[in-house]
Amino acid sequence: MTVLPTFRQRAAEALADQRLRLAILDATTQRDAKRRAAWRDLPDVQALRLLARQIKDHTLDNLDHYLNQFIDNLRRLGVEIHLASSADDANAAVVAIARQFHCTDAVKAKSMLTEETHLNRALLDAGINVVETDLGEFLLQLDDDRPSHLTCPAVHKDLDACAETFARKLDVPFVADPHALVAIARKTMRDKFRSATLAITGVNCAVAESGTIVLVMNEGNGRFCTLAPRVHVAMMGLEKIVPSLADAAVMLKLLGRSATAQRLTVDTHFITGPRRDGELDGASHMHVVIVDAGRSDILAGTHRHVLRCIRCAACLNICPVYRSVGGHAYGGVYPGPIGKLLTPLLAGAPDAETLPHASTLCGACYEACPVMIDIPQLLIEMRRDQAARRRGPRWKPRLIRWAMWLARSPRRFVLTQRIVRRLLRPRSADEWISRAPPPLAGWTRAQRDLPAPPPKSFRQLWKEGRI
Amino acid sequence: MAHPIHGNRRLLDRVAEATNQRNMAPSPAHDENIIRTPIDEPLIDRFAAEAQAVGMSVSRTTEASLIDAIQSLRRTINDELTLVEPALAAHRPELKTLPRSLTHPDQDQLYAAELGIVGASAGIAETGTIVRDAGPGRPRSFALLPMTIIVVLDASTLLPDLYDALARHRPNQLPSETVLITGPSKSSDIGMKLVTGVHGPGVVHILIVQDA
Repeated sequence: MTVLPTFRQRAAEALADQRLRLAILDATTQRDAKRRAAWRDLPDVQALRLLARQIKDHTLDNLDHYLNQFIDNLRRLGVEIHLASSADDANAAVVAIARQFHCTDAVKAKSMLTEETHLNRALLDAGINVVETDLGEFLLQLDDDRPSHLTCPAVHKDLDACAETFARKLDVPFVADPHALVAIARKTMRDKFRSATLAITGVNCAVAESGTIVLVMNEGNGRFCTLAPRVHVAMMGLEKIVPSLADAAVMLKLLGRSATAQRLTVDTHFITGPRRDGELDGASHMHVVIVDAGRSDILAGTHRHVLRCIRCAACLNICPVYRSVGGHAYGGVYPGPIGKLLTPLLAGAPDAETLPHASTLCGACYEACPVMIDIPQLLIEMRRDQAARRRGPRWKPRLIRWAMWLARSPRRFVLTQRIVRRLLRPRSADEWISRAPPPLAGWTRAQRDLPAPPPKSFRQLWKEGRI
Repeated sequence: MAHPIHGNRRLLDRVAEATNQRNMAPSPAHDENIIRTPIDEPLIDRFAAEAQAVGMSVSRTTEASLIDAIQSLRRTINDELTLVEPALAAHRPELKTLPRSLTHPDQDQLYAAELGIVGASAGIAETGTIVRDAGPGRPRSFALLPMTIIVVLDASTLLPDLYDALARHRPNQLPSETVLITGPSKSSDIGMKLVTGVHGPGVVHILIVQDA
C-alpha cells in the first residue's frame, strides 16, 4: 500500500476548504466535550460500557437464536418479514412492497442502512417519490449531496450554505436564520407526511423478546412517518438485535449520551406491530426488512466486534483525522474511525482498502466507544490481513530492514540522528518545518507541520549533565 | 395469523453457521447499581427539574384545579383550535366543553389544531420524560401535530428510571406504540443552532396532578 490516491485526493480537497474545516472542527469539538460531560453523569460509565459490550457480544454469539425469536414475535404481531441477503435484495423488497400497496409517495426517516443500499435511487428508478424528513437529510437531498456524519448528516454545511440551498431549491427568499428555515421545512414537510402512503425508517435497536423496533430521533419525524402513511417499512441490519427490553434500556442510556449528550433523545420510540383495533392512527401494514449485505461474513470472520457498533458517532467526534478532513473524504457511507472498518468490510468504496491506513492508531476512538470496540486493534489486524493477501511494493520491506539495521547499533543510530538534524534544522522556523524534503515531504504536503528535531539529542544533553 | 417470511431463508442459515454456538451461555447479568442513576430527592422534584432542564414547562396542580390550570395555559395561545384526547376527557367531562376544542376531529381539523391536550401513561424522573402508550382513545397524532401540547401527568405514575419504564408491561403485552418524550421537538442540523418545533411540538407544558 504505497499510494492512497483517492482518499488522499479527497482529504487534500477537504483540507484546502477553510470554511468546511472550521465547521467540522467546531461541531466535533463541541459534541465531544458534551459527550464526556454526559458520560460523567452516569453512576459508573466504565462498568456500563462493559455491560453494553457483554450484551452485544452475547447477542452476536447467539444471533441465530435471537434473530429467530425476533422474527417469531414479529409474525405473532402480524408484521411481514423480508430477508435480504444483499443490498439489491433489500431495495427490491421495499420496491415490491410499494408496488403491492400502490404507493407512489414515500416519506423516510434517517437511516444509514438505506444510504448503504442506495435505496432512494432504487425507489426513484421504480417511479416512487421519496422525501427525506430529517432536516439535515432533507437539505442534503435538495442538494443531491451525501451525509458526512452519522448523527449530524449536514455538519459540513454552515448556516449560509443551508439558507442558499433553501432559497435555490424551495423558491423562498434567502434568510440566514435557522428559525425561519425550520418553519419553512415544517410547513413543506407536513403536506408530504400527510399525502405519503409509504413510510420508510431504519431501526436503532430491535428487541427479540417482544418484537419491538426502537427508533431514536429529536425532530419528531420518526413519529410522524409512522403515524400518517398506511404502510410502514423498517429496514434493519441483522446485527441490530438485543435480547430484552432491559438490554435495550442499557443501550439507550449509552446511545443518547454518546451521540448527542442527551440522557434520552427527544423521541425514544418503541413500535410493536401495526396499528391495532380501535386505534385512530399509525400504519396498518408493517413490514420489516432484515438485511445481511455482508454482515454474516463479518460475523463469521475475525472482525466480528465491529457489529457491536450502535452508530453513535462518538468516534468521529473525537478522531483527529475526522476533525481535519470531515466525512466525505472517507468515500464510503460510514465515515470516521468506524467507517475505516465498516466500509472495507461492507459495501466498500473504490479505494476502501486504503481506509485502514488513514489512522494514527492514537486510540481515542476506542476510549470514546460506548460498546468498547477496539478500533485501533481491528485496524492493525485489517492491515495485516491486507499485507498477507498480497505483496506490497518491494522497497517497503527493504526500507524497514534498513531502518532496523540502523537502529540496532547505537553508533549508527546516533550518526543517523545527526544527519537528519543537519538536514532538517536549517528548514525550520519556530521549531516547526512546513515543507520537509523527501522522503518526509508527504507529511507536510498534507497541510501538517513537522516538529523540528531539537538542537541537541537526549544523549548529548545527558552527556553534558543537563538531564 | 402468522405471515409468511419473504426472501431467502438462507440468510438465517448463514447466521447460524457464523455464530456456530451449540450451548447458549446465560445472558449477562444486570447490576442495577451501575444502570440506575441514584435519585435522592422525591421523584416529583427530580422529574420537574429534569423536564425543565430539557426545555419543557412543569406546573403542579390538583384534580380540582386542573381545568383552571389548562384554561390559563390555553389563554396564552389565544384559545386556538384544540385537540382533547378522548381517553383523558373520558372521566373529565369539563374538558369536552372547552371552546373550540375537539375530541374527534376530521383530518383537516387534526392538521390545523394549534394545541393538543393529552394524558401520560407514566413519567421518568431520571430524565424528565413523558411516557405515552398508544391505544384506543389515545391517538398518537394529538401529541405530535399541534405546535403546543399540554400533558396531564398523574404524580402516582412517576417512575425513577428508564429501566422501570421499560418493565411496565410483559414483553408479549406491549402496546403497539410507546413513545418516550424528553423535551420539545428540536434540531441543530442547520449551522449547529438549536431550533425547537421542527416536525413535532415546539412547546410542551406538563401539568402534574397530585392529591390535594
